[in-house]
Amino acid sequence: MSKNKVMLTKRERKRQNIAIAVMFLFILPVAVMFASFFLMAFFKDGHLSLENFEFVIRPMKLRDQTTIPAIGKALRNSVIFTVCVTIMEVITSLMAGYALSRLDFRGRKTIQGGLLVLRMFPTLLLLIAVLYVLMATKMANSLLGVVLVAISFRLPGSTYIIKNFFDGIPRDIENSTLVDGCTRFSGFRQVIIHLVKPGIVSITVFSFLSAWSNFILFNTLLFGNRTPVMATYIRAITRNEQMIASFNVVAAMGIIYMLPVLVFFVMTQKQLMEGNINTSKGL
Amino acid sequence: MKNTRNKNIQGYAFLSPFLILISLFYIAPSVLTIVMSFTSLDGAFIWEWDGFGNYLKIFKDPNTVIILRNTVVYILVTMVLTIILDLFIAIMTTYFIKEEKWSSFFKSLIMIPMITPSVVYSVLWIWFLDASEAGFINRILISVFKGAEPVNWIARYPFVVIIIAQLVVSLAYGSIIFSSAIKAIPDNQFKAAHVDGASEWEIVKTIIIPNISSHIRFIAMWETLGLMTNYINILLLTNGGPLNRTEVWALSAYHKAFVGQKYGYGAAISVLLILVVFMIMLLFKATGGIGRRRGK
Repeated sequence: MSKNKVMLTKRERKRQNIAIAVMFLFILPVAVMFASFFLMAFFKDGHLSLENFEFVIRPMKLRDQTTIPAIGKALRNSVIFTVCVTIMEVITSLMAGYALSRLDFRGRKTIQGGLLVLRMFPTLLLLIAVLYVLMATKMANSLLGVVLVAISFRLPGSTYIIKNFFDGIPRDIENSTLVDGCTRFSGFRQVIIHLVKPGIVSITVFSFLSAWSNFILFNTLLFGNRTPVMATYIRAITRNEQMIASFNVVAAMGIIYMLPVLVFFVMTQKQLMEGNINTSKGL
Repeated sequence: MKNTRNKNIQGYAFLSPFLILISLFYIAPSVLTIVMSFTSLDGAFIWEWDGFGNYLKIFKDPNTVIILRNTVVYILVTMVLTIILDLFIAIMTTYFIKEEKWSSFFKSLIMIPMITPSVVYSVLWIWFLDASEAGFINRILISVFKGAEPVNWIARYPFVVIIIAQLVVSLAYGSIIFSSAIKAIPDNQFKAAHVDGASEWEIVKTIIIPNISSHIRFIAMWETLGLMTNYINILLLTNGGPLNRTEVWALSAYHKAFVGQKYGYGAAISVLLILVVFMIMLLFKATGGIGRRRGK
């Protein structure tokens, strides 16, 4: 009996069925909550309709006669932000992870040790001072500033994950690229990078998800409404003191916001799970 | 000699973007936070030395006791519930449900709240618990009990709401870690227990939990640190209110600094919390960290 193909005895099957039923019951409340919320988007005054999605194509009048702008600009900013953060975070952490895993240089041990502390560092508590740093470097209230902060805050975590992947590659492979006439850099580009692909996928997934759903950085580091992103766009009409949009419209916005996340999630579920496991390794 | 120098240059060439970003957004802000906490820096951005003034103000503020109590209760209750439910989910999906397709189905469902952007997630709860008849729970309440009044759930039970809302997003991480740890337990331990006629509860108690105890410790620390410092869900759901009833320590730093513009005061609150965070990390390290993985 191989380990992967599970052959269940009658008793095990019965136990499994009970467990499946229990898990369904356990998940049911939250599942109902999510499903009925998002379903609301397709109803207006009790009828099936797509009117709630009006904001996708043009400015939309809400029930109290305020007009909200179309979603286009916020969507575009969110996409730019997410793409920039993801690409730069992956490249930076790949380089750093490689150096920390493979190269010998003075201070390597110190930086490795620092990485462990940095990964668990409460970044949100630094926001006050980060705002000051951005002002001092003339990057306050710009998307560029938020991009850099978003990358930095996740960098120790991603570097740590990718470093573990590099640690798992036998040194022989690397030495043979050097023998075959590669420089460190071309060897890195042509051979090594392909061996850590699962690691790259894993940090890409996390980076994408967190950049796309980020709210707090925009909330604290961008003032005025010059650069709306999806999170601030939705938040602007859903503050609990002044819920100005009907829930149906908010649900419609939620669907637009969640769609890329869900697509990405379905595509990369496995890596997401493995990535989660990797973050706990070796502490 | 030249070789080592080259190696150093090479290493730092690869590391330079990393080091620049870390110094700009970790090291400089950490130093600044400490310095700021001794000044009366506010919206005017004038650095004026204030000694321990901010720290004294924290101790004198009557709200500090309330905030401290909220923080401790919030962290302890959420953390304990998270671990219990994580264990439950992991044992169900790994030990009882053996077929991969079912267990990954459930694990993916549990991840959905985690990947939902917090702005949307908070509205979901606000709608679910809305005070009017439009709220999901109130609609059910009214249709079940004829003539029942709609309840303003968030205003009446704000603390319970933030705990449950946070719990639902926290579940994914721990259950995945635990379930991979349970999978790594050698099968023959379970077989031997079955032969000896052990009950399922005994198996859980004497095989599963001892085997993954280091992971439980890790998640306990991880969740504690997360709950201690991540205030986003509370900010979006109740914003600390009504009347400080859900204000926690980290959120109060945010409020003082970004709403009240008292940057120095906010920094002092942050510094105290960062010290606690470091103590927890040291404590975790001192108790042995996470055990070495078996069979690798």
